[in-house]
Amino acid sequence: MMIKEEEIHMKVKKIITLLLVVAMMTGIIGCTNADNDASLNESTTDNAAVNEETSDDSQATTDEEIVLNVWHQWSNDTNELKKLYDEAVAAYEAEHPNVVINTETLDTEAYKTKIAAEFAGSASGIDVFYYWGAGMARKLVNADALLPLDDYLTDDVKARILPGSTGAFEYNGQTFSVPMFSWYMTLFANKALFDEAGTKIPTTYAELVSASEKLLALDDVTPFAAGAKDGWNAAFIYQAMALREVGGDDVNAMLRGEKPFTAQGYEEAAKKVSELYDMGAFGKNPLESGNDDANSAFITGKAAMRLMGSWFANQVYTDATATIDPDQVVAVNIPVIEGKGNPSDYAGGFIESFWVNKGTSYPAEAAEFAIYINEKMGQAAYETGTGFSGWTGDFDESGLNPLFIQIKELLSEGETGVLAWDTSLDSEPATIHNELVQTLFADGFDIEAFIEDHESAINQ
Amino acid sequence: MDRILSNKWYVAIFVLPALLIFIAFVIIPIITTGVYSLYDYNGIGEKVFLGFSNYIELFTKDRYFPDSVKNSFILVAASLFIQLPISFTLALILSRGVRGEKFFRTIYFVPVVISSMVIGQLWMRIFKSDYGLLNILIRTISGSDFEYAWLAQPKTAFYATVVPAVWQYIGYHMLIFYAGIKSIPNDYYEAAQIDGATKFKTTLKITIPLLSPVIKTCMIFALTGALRSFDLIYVMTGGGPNHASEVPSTLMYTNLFRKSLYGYGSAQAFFIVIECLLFSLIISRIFKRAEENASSL
Amino acid sequence: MQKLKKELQFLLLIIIALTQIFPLYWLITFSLKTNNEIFGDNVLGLPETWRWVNYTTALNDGGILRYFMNSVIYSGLTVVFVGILSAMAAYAIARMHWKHKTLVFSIFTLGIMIPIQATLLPLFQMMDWMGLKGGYLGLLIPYIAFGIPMSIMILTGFYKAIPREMEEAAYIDGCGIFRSFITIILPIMRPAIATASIFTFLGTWNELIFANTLIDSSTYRTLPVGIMSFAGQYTTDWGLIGAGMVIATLPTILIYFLLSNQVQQSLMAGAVKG
Repeated sequence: MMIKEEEIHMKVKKIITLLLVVAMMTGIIGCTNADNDASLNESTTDNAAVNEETSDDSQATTDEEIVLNVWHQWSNDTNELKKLYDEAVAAYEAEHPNVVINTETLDTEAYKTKIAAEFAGSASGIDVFYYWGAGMARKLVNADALLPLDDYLTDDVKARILPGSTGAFEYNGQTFSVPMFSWYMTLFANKALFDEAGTKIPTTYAELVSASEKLLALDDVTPFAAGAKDGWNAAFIYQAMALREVGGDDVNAMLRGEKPFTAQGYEEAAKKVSELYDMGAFGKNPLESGNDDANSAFITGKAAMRLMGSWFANQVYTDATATIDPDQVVAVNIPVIEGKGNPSDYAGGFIESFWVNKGTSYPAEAAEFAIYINEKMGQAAYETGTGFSGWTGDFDESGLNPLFIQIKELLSEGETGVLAWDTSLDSEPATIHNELVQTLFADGFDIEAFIEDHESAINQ
Repeated sequence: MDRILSNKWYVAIFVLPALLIFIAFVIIPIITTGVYSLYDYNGIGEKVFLGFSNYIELFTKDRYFPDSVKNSFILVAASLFIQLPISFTLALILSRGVRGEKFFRTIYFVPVVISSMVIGQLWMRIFKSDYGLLNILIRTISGSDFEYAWLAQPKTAFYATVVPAVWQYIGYHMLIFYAGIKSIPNDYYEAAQIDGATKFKTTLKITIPLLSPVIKTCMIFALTGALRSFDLIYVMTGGGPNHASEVPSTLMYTNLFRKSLYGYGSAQAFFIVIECLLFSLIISRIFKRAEENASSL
Repeated sequence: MQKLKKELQFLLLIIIALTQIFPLYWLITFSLKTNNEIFGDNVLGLPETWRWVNYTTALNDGGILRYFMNSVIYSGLTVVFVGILSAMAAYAIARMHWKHKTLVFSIFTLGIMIPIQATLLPLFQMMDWMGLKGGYLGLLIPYIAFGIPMSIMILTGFYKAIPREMEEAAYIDGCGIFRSFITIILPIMRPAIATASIFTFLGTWNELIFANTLIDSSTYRTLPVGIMSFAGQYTTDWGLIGAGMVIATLPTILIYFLLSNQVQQSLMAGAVKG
């Protein structure tokens, strides 16, 4: 078996070439995609003249290209906020030609998981990110992962911030973010369906129960779309009942750790939600539908009521898949429970905003963008009827839809606000709470386990 | 040649790249998980040494872990006692020669090449209470108003996830059995036929024993696959509703990445590792003993 | 009697074939239907009007094409690297003489038993610490590491089947180890490497949990993760999601059908030898 030298040489050469090609390919792919990233996300804005009044950073003069990685959770294209955000970014890039904003999105649950995981490491891919203040950002503050913004807040910026809106963003005397827009938990009701069922929109719990009974008689209509597959949707409903049973001040005290989770009211609230489930008010399988499914059910007339944040008002008017007449939708407060709580208590507040990773390579630019985007989104949210701005200014109210105006009036009468519990609690009790509330929407609800598990999670 | 093949440098060049990458990115992480499991650690703060208390908590304080282990055992049972027998039967039938044998072989394997993600999404829609395929079929046949939410009712949620899990890999195991059966020399069968054995007896006394290494491999793969099953359940139910369909991996994932309980989550992860090793050992032992008994006959 | 049994068996085969294929048929048809048809008017039949717009939307808005290319890159590179690394390591274990080869082989065998999610957190931290998380390597390296053990298992089986005479002849001719390996051993091992590669490819292409956790940017996202977020975004539009899933699935099915002979032969050979 004689093997020619040349043949061996050729084969060896072939293989080495192949390996080299593969190695090069890997290298090229690695490099190309870094380039692609930048070019993919540069907005196609025209080369407008640099706006002198906005930029006072020394960095700007070096014309070095700065890429800021910004993360947020408005991943759905039907979300009005996503569009507003993209517009604000385009405007910013036009005014700051040396800054490129690279945006990444994930939807809510995946987003929370991602941020938690990233900050267990160095979070090197995140410069500015959307997050919730109060209890949620607290662990990041404690881990010294956030950049304080005090040095970057000029006096005239501070003057534009609405008084009383900054509570959730301040820790240990430092300001880590500024408000964006607030939300207000609203009961949306489809008046047409109520008329059809011959009942009125509820203002008390008793009325809610009787309205649900009448609505059950309608074909193919669920009285109350719960969206309980997503824990936070289920939590909204429970928290609304708890707010009415226990009262805003006490709930806030409980969330701050000042009062234990044992008040009788919490148990009563749970029983009421379970009662509504048992009578079929949430449909046969509330755990099968999540937030998007429940929203869709409401705007296509398959559900008569939806308890959601004020941002939903916008979707009722602008979602292309909506089939109901938006003018038939009414916004009302969470039904009160006779003899308990204060009607002026409400759920909602300033909790969401954009924050800056302390480890960012460009603290000044990141801080400037964060402050900018918070103010812009605050304004944009108000002007489109999605939220209530934490900033003062000349806002264009012509775009406000009737629903939003109704909610605005409700808000003006509110006194004590309670944020969503999973934004006030630490991540472990928050997750446990969002999981426990889902047991209210299934058979075999165990009230004792519900209270017990809450107690052990919250009363640390 | 032997001298070349014993040359230490050559051995190193051939083995080290794979070995080093493997140790660095598989072995070391596993050991790290084991170490983490002994601590109370949330990724950001300080680590607190706990010894084995995380493991003890798994079965004493955790409301959901024991049931999740039970679920994983149900999946194991379904894989071993439903999936494998179906695969084996199909392999037998096909290996004996039927019309369109190649067609069937090809068709049965198709679900294997589909991503679990797609399979999960697809079966979610099959099980949906209002417009799912299953309920539509039931409504058409029974004429009733059937709207049961298979995946959203705690009683049936887990079993609903078992169906696609078993369904997807029937073809995979079938092919492996088929190969094994085909590789048995015909002489055995001819001898048996001469002795007047029935088809059933042939299968029992000849095919199965000769296939024992293949069966052992299939069982170990099916079993370990079931114990660490994640993808389908994560996509279809996320462990819900209300933890009814949790398996150790889904609980582990929530604990690690939602609640940032790195120590505790690692204990759950390491528990799965130990489970897999233990069961593989048990199956190997059982087969070894069976082989010894067989040869001593 | 025999004939009846044969007919029954055939019926069983057909029924099972139907259960294997029907879900796919349903997927493809509902990807081309309107919601009304899917939800009630025309559940089982062929679409009345073929809504190709579902596909164009999925390709454009969903970014699915990009995710598809990413999966191709990850799977392709993993197959290549696992192939090279495991071919060499398996040869050393199967054919070379050295003290610790059984130990090393056991270490690799351990890898098959280990549930990969148990390594998720440390790997996550490792990739982050090495600065590899924003890029292809962050996912590629773990994929390669986890593909190695199975491949080695399959290949050692095949190596052992190579007749000694062939090897000896190569070395007698004065070939060094590398020449012998590359020019003689490897060509003989081609079917084995094909078998191992198919296992590696299947394991990588459909992988979900690592891809979900180790990759954040949509630029490097793989197909399974992409479809998952796509489905999360458009929950109520079944047709659109269906189109996305078909786009994700059809290529692998087509490749499988084209190569079905090869795939099946390889798997069967691997199964028996392994």
